[in-house]
Amino acid sequence: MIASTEKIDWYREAKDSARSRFASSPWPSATDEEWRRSDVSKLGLDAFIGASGTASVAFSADLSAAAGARLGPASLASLPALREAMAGIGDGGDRFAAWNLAEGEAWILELPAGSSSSAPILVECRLSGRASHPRLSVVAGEGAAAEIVYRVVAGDDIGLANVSLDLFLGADSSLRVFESHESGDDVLWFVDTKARVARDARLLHLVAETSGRFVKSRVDCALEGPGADAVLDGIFHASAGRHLDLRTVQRHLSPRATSRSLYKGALDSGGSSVCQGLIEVAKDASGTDAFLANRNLLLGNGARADSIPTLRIGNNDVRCSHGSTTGRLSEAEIFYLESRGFDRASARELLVLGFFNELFDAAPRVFSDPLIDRLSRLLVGSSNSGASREWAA
Amino acid sequence: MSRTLSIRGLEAGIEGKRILEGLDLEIHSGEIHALMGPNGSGKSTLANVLSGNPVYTVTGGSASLDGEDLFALSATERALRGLFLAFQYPVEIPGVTVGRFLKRALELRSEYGAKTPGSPVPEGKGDLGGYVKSLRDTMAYMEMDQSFINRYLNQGFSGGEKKRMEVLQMLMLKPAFAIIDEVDSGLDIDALKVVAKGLNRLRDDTSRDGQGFGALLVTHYRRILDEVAPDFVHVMYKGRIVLSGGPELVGELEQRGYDWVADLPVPSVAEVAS
Amino acid sequence: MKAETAYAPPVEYAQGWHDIDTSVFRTRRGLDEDIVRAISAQKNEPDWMLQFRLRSLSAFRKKAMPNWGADLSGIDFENLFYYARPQDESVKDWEDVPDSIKRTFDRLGIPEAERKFLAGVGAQYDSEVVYHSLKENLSKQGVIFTDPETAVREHPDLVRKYFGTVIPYLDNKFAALNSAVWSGGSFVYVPKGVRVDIPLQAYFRINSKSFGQFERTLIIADEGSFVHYIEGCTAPVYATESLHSAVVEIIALAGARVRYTTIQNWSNDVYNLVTKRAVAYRDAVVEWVDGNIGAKRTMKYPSVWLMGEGAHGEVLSIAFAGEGQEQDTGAKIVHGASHTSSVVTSKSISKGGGIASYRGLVKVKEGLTDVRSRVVCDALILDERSTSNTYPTMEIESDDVTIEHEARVSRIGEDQLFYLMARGFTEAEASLTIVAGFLDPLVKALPMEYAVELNRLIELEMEGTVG
Repeated sequence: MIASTEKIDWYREAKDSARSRFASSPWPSATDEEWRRSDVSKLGLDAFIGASGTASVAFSADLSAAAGARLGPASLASLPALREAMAGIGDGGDRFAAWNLAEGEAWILELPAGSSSSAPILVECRLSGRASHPRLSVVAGEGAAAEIVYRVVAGDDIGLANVSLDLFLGADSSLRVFESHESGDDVLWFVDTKARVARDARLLHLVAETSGRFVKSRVDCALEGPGADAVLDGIFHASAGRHLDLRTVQRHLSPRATSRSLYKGALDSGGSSVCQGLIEVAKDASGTDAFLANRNLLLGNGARADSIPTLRIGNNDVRCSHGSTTGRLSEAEIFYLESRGFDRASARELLVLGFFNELFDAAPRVFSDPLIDRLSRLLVGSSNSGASREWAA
Repeated sequence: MSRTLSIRGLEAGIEGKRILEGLDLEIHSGEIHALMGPNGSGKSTLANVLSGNPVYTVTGGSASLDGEDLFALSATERALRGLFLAFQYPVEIPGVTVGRFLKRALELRSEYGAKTPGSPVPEGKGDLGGYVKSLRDTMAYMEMDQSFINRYLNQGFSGGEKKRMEVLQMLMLKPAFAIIDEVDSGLDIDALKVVAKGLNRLRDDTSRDGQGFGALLVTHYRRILDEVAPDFVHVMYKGRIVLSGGPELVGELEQRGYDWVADLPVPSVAEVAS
Repeated sequence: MKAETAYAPPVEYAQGWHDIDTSVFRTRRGLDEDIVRAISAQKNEPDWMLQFRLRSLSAFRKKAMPNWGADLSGIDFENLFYYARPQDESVKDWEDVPDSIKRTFDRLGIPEAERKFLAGVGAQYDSEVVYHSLKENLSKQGVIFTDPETAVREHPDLVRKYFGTVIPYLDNKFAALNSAVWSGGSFVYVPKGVRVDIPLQAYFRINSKSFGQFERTLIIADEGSFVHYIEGCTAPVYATESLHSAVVEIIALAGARVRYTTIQNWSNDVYNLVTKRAVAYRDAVVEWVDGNIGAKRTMKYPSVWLMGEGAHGEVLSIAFAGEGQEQDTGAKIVHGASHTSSVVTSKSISKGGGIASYRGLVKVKEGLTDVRSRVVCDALILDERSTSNTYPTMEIESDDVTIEHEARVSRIGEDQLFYLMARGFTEAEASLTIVAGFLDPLVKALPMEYAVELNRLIELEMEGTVG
């Protein structure tokens, strides 16, 4: 059940304090390492202060369709995870986090312990107005399992979207979350995703960034319980004039947790991207197995790809590695396809979709089909009717 | 109408080194030509140059497809007009499945056919169900497991699987002319028989506007030629064709080896075509 | 102000002794314009060099300390001596070296090295070159191998052309410091087409309390030449911190090849902050081989700027961080021309609470074609008290590139340990063998004496490590 939190006291207090924090803090500056390559000072952010906007959240009906799945009403005051998350923002968090808490309306999707659903839960968040601050918290109880497709779609007047997503996974739960942000070419996106994964719980988060003029996105995942597992994947396309700054953090706080992150992007001439990834292993996180990779495909000269994978390892009983590659399409592969009758543009389209394929594979068709269509349009300029996987065996 | 692939005095090389020294050859629809010769004679260079591999440079001579200058066409255009190069070492394309690749290739052909009336390109698109059935049947015929449809193109394929995949593509895309580079290299006898099965089916299939399938089989050994009987046999030496004849030439080469070829004079195209 | 106390090193340090201080001239503690003038006067420098030093001092004062990297809060700039000169002039013959200094070099084994026909040794004793000899064949070839002071006096054209061009004094705070108070180091010029077959070597020592070492090395390899320069250093133990802030500039002109090898083994109270940078022109090759075993804090990122087509840069780096140590090392490669390539291999080990960090940059400027770069960082953490960090950055602005980066962090594999122990090794021996194997690809790049010394140093460091 998705519920609104407007009427809860402690929540309102958190909002008030967020408002004053927003008012008294500056925008992140370029001297801050995390923002160094994405200078927000020229984006005209001040114009959006006080701008109105709303976010309406709708979800696919019939959540209880599958046998055994049961989603009941949430008792908001007793959602300790949500409260903790709000409290957490009080201490840290940047101006955007405070802004989101102050201006946005929080929605909660609660998955009761032991529940599961056979079909993906489709959550669509529509933004209207000038600036919007949607906030969704997904709380999975012990042993709950769900696949969630979360689309944030900006209306035509939107200039700034400040999105917050919290994922709380109780012990033994399993969440597969597929997130996309869709808008026109001129929108500024600020995205903050936080995940906390308890003992033996498993998270898969895949985000697709193919819209907007400027995207600053952070996915911060804390593996808090032993045996926790997280996969943080990303697909992005930086067309000309688009700048994407994507950051993932894999925080290993407890022993025997595993995590993997793979961000793949394609850049056109005039596009730019920054992929920052951090694996941080605490002193007691023995038995950690963590991997981080960024793969950048340059589709033209004049693209700029920065890759900053970082390891901070404080325990020796670990296996941690990261990799980064940046390069172009292989001429040998292009020639092979041309010798089979592909023109250069169709060859590049097939190869770029092939480049992203391993990430699409994990996603439900309702997420990947429109994404593939959008990428095809961005790559070739026309919809590829053959892009869908209908023919698959 | 019979089609012709014609090569005259072709000179070509790679990185400043000339390999083809004036090669003449003519192939018509329905003809299987075998091209044999010792290592380094330029057989693979010919195959690559004809399909338009940018790594090689043409420095003299000409080639034409139905009278149209082949070298004025891009690799894509040559393929769409019915030329197919089966590679000796097909490149691996991770992330692109066999099924998606073939479907897209057929669509592009069909779009080309729709745009270019009179072009000798078969209807490819049809219905999706038709495509899948056709692909499954062809895979079964080539004795390849159906799971290959979802495997990444050539990735992790054994030598035999790669060759069968190339033949599978020919069966699906139905080219007018195929140049098959080192058709039997790396194949054991079973794989070789399956490849031959595919080539023979291509030869027997006259569904491309009633024309036969023309092919140039580039090979070092005779084994494949036991299974796919050539109409003409040519021997290459140091960048030229130095001897041409019928299938009986194969036996002669096997007996005498390649050394005697070195001293032969170069025959003219007229002699070859007769 | 730090009090001087008796200091008991945790590990017996074989070369942790020092001679009676024979400094004959030493500036007072601290740093100001008078001190810089005094240093310049002592060296009889022309005015242009004095002006360079003064501008650098001004830059040093203005620049901020780096807000990243190893913890440098323990450096007390006002409490250091910045210059000491041990004797009156450079000598060319062993006979002329003062006895106490000879004893120092005896113990370091230099006479043996001399007997092994090394090309020449510029030895450093508290900032001055006191022993210097050049083999005749090098002189005949036109190779210049001398101290930078002599170069300023005898080869001013070369010095003015290249000095401070690769690392300008404004580059960073410690480059500015060095540019103000530099003393000693090496100056090497190799003429066109000359191959120097024997490695040129130098030793450095800090042998005075609270003393800063600011040597300045400039290597110019003219077109088509080859030279291998080896820098190796040891230092005795002191209670107050010692600062080593060196600058090494290398210019490899078209078709030249330069290899620069360092095995740094400062004692564990030294701050080792070095700026090392090379510029490689068309078809030139520069290789940095960098071993960091000692020092309390090291910040060192050998760099290669590939400015001509066909240039190639390589960095091989080994870092060992033991108790109380922070090794913050890495490599910086800037591709400024097409058809260039680079390889960086970094291996680090941390134990006993040590912190080893790799910090690197690969930058490809825009509009370039055919650029290839591969970086591999492997780190071993030997126990749960220790830390390993990897901070690489790739900034790619051209598309015709192949850029690869890989890093792996782990401990010694249980299965490897078990295998060796099942063959009769003790755990300590097994660990040492595995660590030696881990480092082997880099150790192979060293000249034999250095490989031997490095292996011995690793053995010493590994002693007392079990589990």
